[in-house]
Amino acid sequence: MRWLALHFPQLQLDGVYSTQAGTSDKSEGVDDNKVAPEPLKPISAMLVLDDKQCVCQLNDAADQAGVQYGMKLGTASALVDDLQLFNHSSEFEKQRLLEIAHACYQVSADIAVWNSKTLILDVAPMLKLYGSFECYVDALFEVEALDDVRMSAVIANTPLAAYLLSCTGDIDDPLVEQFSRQDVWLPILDRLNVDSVGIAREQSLQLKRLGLHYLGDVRELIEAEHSRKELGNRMGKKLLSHIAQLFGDEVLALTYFKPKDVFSHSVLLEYEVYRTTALLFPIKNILQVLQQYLQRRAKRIQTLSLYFQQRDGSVLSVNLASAEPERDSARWLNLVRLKLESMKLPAPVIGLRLEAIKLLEERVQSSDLFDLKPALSPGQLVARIQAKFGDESVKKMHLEADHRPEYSFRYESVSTQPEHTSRLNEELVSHDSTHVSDGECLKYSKRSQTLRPSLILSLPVPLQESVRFIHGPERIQSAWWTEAPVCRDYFVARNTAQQTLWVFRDQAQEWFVHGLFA
Amino acid sequence: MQKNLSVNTLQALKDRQLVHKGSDSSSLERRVVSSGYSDFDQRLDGGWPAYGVVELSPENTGIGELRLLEPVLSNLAILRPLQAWVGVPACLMPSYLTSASRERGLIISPPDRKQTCWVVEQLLLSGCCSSVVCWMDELSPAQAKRLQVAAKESQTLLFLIRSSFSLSQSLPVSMRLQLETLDAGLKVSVIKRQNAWPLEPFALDLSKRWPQLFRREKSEVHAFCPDNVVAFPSVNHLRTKKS
Repeated sequence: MRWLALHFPQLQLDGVYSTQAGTSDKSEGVDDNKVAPEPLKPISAMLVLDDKQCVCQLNDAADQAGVQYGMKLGTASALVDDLQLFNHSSEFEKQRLLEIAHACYQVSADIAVWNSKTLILDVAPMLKLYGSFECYVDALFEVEALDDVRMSAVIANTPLAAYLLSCTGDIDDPLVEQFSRQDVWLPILDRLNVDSVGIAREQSLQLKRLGLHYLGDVRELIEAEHSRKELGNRMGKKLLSHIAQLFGDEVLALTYFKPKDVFSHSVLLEYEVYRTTALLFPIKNILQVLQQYLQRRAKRIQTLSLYFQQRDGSVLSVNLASAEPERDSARWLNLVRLKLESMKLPAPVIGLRLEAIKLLEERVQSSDLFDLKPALSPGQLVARIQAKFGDESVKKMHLEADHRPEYSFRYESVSTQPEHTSRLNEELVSHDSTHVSDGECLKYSKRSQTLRPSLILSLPVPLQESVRFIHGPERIQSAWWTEAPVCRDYFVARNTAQQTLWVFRDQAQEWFVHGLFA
Repeated sequence: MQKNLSVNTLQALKDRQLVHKGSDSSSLERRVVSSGYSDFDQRLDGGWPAYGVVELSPENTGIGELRLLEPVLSNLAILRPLQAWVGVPACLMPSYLTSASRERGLIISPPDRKQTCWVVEQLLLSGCCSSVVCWMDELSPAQAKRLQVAAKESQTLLFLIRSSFSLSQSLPVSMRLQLETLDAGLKVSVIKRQNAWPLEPFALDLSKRWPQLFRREKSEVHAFCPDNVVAFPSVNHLRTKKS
C-alpha cells in the first residue's frame, strides 16, 4: 500500500484571483506567451489572518519582507506598509479543495479528503494503469488545478504518515518510489514533536510530562509488548490505535471522494469590485475551466449560477439560462456580459463562485456543409435577447378557445428553463401545437379570420371621432357566469384619417375603439 | 474536431473567394418572393425582394399595411418557420396570422426604443428567422446599412414600418414603399427599388381578399348579409340590374 498526501498550506491565498499573473504562476509574475509584457507593478504582500489575528498564510512578497507565520498583525504591518489582508475562511478552502479533488479525479481514482488542506491519494491501484510511479506522478502534476497552488506532496505507506510528512516540509526528494519504504521516512517521523502528530493537545502534553518529546520515543515504547500495555493503560486505547495506524500496524478506513456531477469554481478577488464589467475577467477564466471540464465529460450545460460574495457578507446570486445546451466559453461569456450589463451591484464584490449543477448529454447536430447555416439556433437567439432584456421580453402567441376577443389569445413568455428548452427548438421549428387543439381553436378563428383586427388595444379607448360603418354589427356576449361578462356590438368602421377601426357599443350605449385592421 | 477544421478551412477559402459555389450563380439574379397579390407581383416584376430591408411608410397606422404583408409572411413561414415581430404598437392578434406564422411567431418588446435596432440586428444575424416585422421610426442611414447587410447575409426579409413623416430621409434599403388609402384598397407608390426604376403609384385592390372590410355600396350598412342567409331572389335581381 502506498499513499500520496497532497498538502496545500496556502489554499486561500492561492485562490485569490490575481490580475497580474492570471492563471500563470504568481511567483514568476510574467507570462512567457506575452510578447511585450507591460511593466507589472509588484505584487503587493498578501496575508491571511486566523481568528486570533495572527498570520497563517503569506505570499512571496510578504515572505521577502520578513513576515513570518504566527506573527501578529501589528508586527506584520510594521514590516510591510502595503498589505492586503484576508480573514481565514475554512469554507472557501474546503470548497477549493473539493475543486482540486475534482480535477485530480481525472488522473487518480481513490482520493480521500483528509482535512480542509490535505488530500490523500491511494497510489497502489493506479500503478497498474500508469506502469511506474514516476509516470503516475508526472500525470498527476499535469493537472492544471495543481499549477497555481502551493503544495507539498509526500508518499508513504500509511495515509497518516503521508499526511504528517507532508505537513512537516523540508524533506529531500519525497516523491521517489524509495521514499515509500518505511526505513526511509521513519527517521524523519521519529524526529517529529509529539505536538504535531495529530493527537489531542492534552494527550501530547501528557506524553511530554512522561518525558516523551518525540515520536521516536513513543515508538520505542510501543515496540515492546509490556510497555505498550502500560502506555495504553495510561493514555487510553485511542492513542495506541492512532500510533498503530501511523506505522501501518492497523488499517485506517478512509472514505473516498466521489465526484458529483456539479461544476463549481470559486475565486477570491484581489480587491473589491464595484463595477460589473471588472467582474468579467475572473469569470472568463472560470468559464474556460468550465469548458475544459465539460469537454472531458462530453457534456453541456444549460444553466449557470453565479454567486457574488459581497463585502457585507451577503451573497448575490445570478442565474443564467441559455436556451440551448452550451459548452463554448465565449458564448457563455457573451450571455454573462449581457446579463451583467443590465445589473447594478448593490455592494462591492470580494469573491465569486460559479456553479453549474445540471450537466446535459451532448447531442451532436448534423450540419450541412453547403447549406446556408444559421449562425444561431432559435433557442440561442431567444436566450441572447432574454439575457439582455429579461424573460418577459420575448413572447409566443397561443390561441385560446374563447369567443371574447381579449381572451381568444394569450401571450406567453418563451421559457428557457431546461425542461422546456429541449422542446423549444422543435416547437419553434416544427408544426405541432401543444396547447388547445387546432380544431377547437379553428372553430373560433376560422370564421373570424376576416372579422378580427390584426392589432388589438389592450384596453379599449373611447371613440372620439366620427366614423363610417363598413360592417356590423356583430354581437359578442359572454356567458353570465364568466368573470368579466361582456355584451358588445362590434362594427368595422373607417374614420376620417382612413384608418379601419374595430369599434363596439356596450350596453350603456357608449362607443369604444378596440382594434385596428392594420 | 476534424469536421470543424474542414468547415473552417472551407470558410477561409470561401472568404478569399477561391471556392465557387454552384448555388452562388442564382444570387446574381434578382430573387423575389410572391406577395400573394397578382397585381402587385406583376408591377413589381415578381413581388417582394426575397431578402433585404423593405421600408413601408403607411400614411397612418391601420390603413391595411399588415393586410398587404399577410400573404407574403405566410409564404415565407413555409421555408424558414421562425418569424419575429418587434415593437408592435398594440397587441398583435394571432387570429390575423395564418397558423404557420402564428405557431412560430415571436413577439419581442424591447423595453427601450433605442434597443430596437440591436434586437433587429440580432434577429437578422441569427439567420433563423424568415422574416422580421418591425415598427421603428428613428433610424439613421448607418443603422439602416447595418440592417441591410445583416438581412442580405442571412437572407432574411425585414419589413420596417415607419410613419410617413420620415419620408424625407433616404435610407440604403432594398425597397421603399409609401402606402395611402383608396376606397377599395391601397395606393402603393414605389419610391425606391434596388436594381430597378421607381414606379408610378398604382392602386392595389385588397377588397377581393378582405371583402368584409370594403363593403362600399350606399345601402350596404343596413343590408349586411351573413354567409348563411340567402338573399331574396328578386332583390338580388334588382340589384344587379341597378349596377
